[in-house]
Amino acid sequence: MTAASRSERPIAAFMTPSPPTIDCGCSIAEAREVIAAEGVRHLPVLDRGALVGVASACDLDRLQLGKPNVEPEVLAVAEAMKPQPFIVDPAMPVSRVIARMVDEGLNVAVVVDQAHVVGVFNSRDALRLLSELLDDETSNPLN
Amino acid sequence: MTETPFTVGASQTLATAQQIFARHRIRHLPVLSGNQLVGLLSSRDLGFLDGVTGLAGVMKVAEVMTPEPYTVEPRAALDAVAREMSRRKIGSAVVVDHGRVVGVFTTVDALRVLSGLLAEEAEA
Repeated sequence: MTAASRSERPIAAFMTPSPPTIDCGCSIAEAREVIAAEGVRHLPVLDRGALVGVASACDLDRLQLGKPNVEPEVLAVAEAMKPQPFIVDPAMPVSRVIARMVDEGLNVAVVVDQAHVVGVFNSRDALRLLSELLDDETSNPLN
Repeated sequence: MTETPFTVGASQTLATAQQIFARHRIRHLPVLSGNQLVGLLSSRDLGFLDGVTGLAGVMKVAEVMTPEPYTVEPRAALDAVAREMSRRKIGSAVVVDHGRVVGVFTTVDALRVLSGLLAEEAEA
């Protein structure tokens, strides 16, 4: 594959597929369990199956620190999540997704296909792609 | 990396850190105890203070910072740094030159490099 074609490849080729999701009515304690069990950084948040936000471990901690007297079993994910996430189609070129993330200071894109969350592309995926690109440059300096 | 001549003390208050973030429009602050790097504080770590009065003047940086941050030398290979950050699932590396903090490399920097590389390749 040429490097030029890689920038036009769809985000689906680089995303983390089939991410775990959580319902907005779940508690942040439940969300923490999912994040720990699945080893992920971001959880797409659903309301009756529709994507309404993204919650990270930082978002959960931030809400908890701001409400130290409230049990995590009582605090809802909906309170912690960031609403209106960056949603992209699986066919969107990776270069366009990353350009938007840079321009708008975003650290995660949720990949949605026909109203279903099919993946996430976050900074970890970006770091992996960056190391691959730089490896290729080192291996094929004339490309 | 993003060069940062600014640091904050582990025993300083979050209010002090907030002032440094705001005054210098930066997002990460290496945390020192004496001359020793002991942590990293992100402006996002302080989001929980929104709407809470009084807490920032009481809580210390050490209570909120990420301890023992990943450190690299300025000449470290970028691909190796990116791979290690991905493996460790972390969003930043503190750049240290002969024991002195000189910058922070974050996922924002990585995305910027990546965007540039992909744009260059598309034009090639």
